[in-house]
Amino acid sequence: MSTDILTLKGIRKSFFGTEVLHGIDISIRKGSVHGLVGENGAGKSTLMNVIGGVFHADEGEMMVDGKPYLPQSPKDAQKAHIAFVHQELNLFSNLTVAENLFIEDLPLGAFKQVKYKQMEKETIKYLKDFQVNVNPKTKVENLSMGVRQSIEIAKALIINADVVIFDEPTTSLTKVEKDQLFRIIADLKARNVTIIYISHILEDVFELCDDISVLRDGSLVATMPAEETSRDDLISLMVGRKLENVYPTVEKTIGEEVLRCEHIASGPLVKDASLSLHRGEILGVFGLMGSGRTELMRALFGLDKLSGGEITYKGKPFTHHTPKQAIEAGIAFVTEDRRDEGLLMPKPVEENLLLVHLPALAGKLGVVDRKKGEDLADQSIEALHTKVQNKKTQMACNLSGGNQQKVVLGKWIMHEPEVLILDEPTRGVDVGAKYEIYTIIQERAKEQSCVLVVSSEMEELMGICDRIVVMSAGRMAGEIERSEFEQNSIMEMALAGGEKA
Amino acid sequence: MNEKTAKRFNLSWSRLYEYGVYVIFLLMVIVFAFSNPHFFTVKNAILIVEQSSPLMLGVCGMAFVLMLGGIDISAGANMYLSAVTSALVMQKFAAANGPGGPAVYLIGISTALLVGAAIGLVNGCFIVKFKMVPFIMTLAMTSVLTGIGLILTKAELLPVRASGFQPSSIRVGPVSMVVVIVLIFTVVFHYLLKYTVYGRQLTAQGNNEEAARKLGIRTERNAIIAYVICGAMAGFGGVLSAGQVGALSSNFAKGNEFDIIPAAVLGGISLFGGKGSILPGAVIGIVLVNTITNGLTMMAANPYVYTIVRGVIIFIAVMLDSINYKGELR
Repeated sequence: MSTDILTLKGIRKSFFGTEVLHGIDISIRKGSVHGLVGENGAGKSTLMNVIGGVFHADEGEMMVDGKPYLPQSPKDAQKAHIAFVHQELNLFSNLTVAENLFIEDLPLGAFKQVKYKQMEKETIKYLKDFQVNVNPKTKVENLSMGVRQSIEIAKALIINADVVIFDEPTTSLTKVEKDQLFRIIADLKARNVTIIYISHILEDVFELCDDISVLRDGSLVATMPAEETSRDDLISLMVGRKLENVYPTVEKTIGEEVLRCEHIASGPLVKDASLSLHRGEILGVFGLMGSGRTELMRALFGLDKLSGGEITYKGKPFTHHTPKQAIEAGIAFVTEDRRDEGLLMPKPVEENLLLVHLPALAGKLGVVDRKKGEDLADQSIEALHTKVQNKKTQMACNLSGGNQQKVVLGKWIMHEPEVLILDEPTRGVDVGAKYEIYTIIQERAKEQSCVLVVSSEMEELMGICDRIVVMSAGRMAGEIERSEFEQNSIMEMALAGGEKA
Repeated sequence: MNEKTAKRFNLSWSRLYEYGVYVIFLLMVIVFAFSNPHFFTVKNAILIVEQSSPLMLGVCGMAFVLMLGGIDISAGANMYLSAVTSALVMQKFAAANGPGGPAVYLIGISTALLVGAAIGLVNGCFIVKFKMVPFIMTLAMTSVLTGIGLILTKAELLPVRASGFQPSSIRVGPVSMVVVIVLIFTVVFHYLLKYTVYGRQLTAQGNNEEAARKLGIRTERNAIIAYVICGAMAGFGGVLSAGQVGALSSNFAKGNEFDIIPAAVLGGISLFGGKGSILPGAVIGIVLVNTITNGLTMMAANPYVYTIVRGVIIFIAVMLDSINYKGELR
């Protein structure tokens, strides 16, 4: 039992010049269930994708069963008997269950034709092992999420895997389906299959795992047997950074309430969310992936419909608004997806900057005052220290991440919003630009705007916010004032929802 | 909405969608049959089948591209240019070796297949490798192909029959060789799409390309092959159609893509990719489109009405497709 089935040495991986894995060394014991925990963005999924052959490591080596392993594609991982159950489902909803199971390696007859009969027979036999009772001829689009998940797992295991990677497998499962998954995992373990289990839900990790590894900021912090650690130890290992002095401070006063929402429900993810936002306040919203934080912001801005609850804005009900009405009322929304939602990438900086404020620049006949626009664009570039060579010819896609974000911020700030909603404002932004973005946020608050910041980096929220609310499973899990900020308790709250689910 | 009601909701839409085409088809036949006694006859039915045949090849090819979630607007122009090059080659050959004989057929058809496939290859490579939007890429291609065709023919009428290429004059029972060839190809392509690894993986990637790539399915190769098949079949359809008409005018096959694509969509192949099949859907689609044209001609309708009818057909096809797509849990 002491032999290692999988050994990683010095694995490094960069995306677009930013290193996300800084030389990971890890060994997985044969036949063990190995838990992998860490904050969002700690590099868990990236590491697993490297093992699964989806990404190539830039540096480092891997060994499977003592033999060198250099996957070029997911196919190579399969050949090495490594199966990967992805976080999101990778089924083809237009195909049948049987087709989905065998799509990579369809059984063929003498005329290269797919042998449906044989395939369907094998599917029934095979799914019996997983206690899934579906007709192999059913199209996947007619199945519930839980059954789909089971099929996804069955599909990953069809290669006779020695190692199975589960990346957050329980996010879309009900309690019953989750128990079933755990039974499957126990079963696999009994057959001496090695399992790598990634999850946010520490209880599950303790229940299932023999060993636990903690990743933080792309480095491996610790690997230890599960009996020798506790939940609290894990949490401090996950978040255990010292707060450096990278956050600007500004003297400001917090005034009356501007925005209040009560018991908001929207879509599948936001179930019962309430918060109140005051003039001059920076309110942080923390939550793990899937906690509904982004969806709550979308609902506040009017992008998604409310299915329940009320929003009050400046003392008046403001519930069924469109994004246009929100903008007119002085609400701005910087989305987390700068590339697709925040910027017109192939358009020059000036055009991007003026996008929101454009209607206000129009004269009586609807003609835009170009001179005024140019001046405003110049002012914005100067005020935010955006590095732009030529605002008329340089395209947004040619700017660095930090400068792109400043353009997005600039276009909203030009419109002088009273409520500024920022979703992951510093994602993919380097440290220097981060500080400048924090300064911009602080200055907006000083000028009596309200700022709502969503971030998965807890440290960042603790650095800039006056108050943090924690979301978990679509509900408010708690609220903390600045004087009481403490990483472990925030993480506790964020993880709390997972226990109930 | 719980799952059960959602399913029932979907079912009712897909019912309407599935049978909608048949209902329209039936209604059309009844209306035409009452307005002209010559419509509901075996002779006319054979005529419709003959007319549908070359376009059916185009529909077969288009099915592959649509399955992928792509589109090929250049199918009509492809038919034109493939027919023109093929006719010119046959003309040269006939001038040297005398008209007629199996050699003329062999050379004519292979030229059209090659030219069509080459056009498809160019389309596919640009769309896949440079991530060009299929609609615009093939729209640009349409213009280029039409231009080349006009230059080659000097915009004059190009005779085809003179070389001895008359596929519709070779009879097999009550129908011509064209119908038989097309039937064989239809079955082969249906089989290719439904029962081979290539066809199933193409269908899969049309549904979820990202997942297909993660599984190591060669999505780019598959996509390019789909465009090549589409191009080759358009070319083949072009030369057969030229053989039926007997001479190529500069308007030959113009706008045929707008018969081919709606026919495929009416037959249940989704513009959103991953859905539908050639048999029986696409076949019924193309016969339906041709039945309407035929019926209108018999009613001696104002020729400009065709344009309106064509528009309505496209509208109905795309609307049903969108409704069906929206009501579906993906």
